[in-house]
Amino acid sequence: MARYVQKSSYETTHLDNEYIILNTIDYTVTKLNDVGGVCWSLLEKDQTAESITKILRQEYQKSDVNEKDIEEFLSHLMECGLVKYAV
Amino acid sequence: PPLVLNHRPIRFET
Repeated sequence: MARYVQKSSYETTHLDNEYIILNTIDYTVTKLNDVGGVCWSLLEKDQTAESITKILRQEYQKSDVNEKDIEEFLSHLMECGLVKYAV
Repeated sequence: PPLVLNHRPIRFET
């Protein structure tokens, strides 16, 4: 299973249940929802879609956290150039 | 579900 990690240490601001990531390398701004921000924080260390799903299930006490949603989110972060495959 | 709400480049005025 693919492991992901933040590409670099970016400036992140938490504002009104949204996370704003300032990428000063590629000059982009990315806005995430609250759960997206939690996932982003977890990605400071290597994570898989499965490991993030497990943590979210504990954090939100919900068993219906869908691993597929997490995979899509990670793919989207890859497209935005914010995460990379961990080696 | 976690979502990317917005992603855009920063424009600088020279």
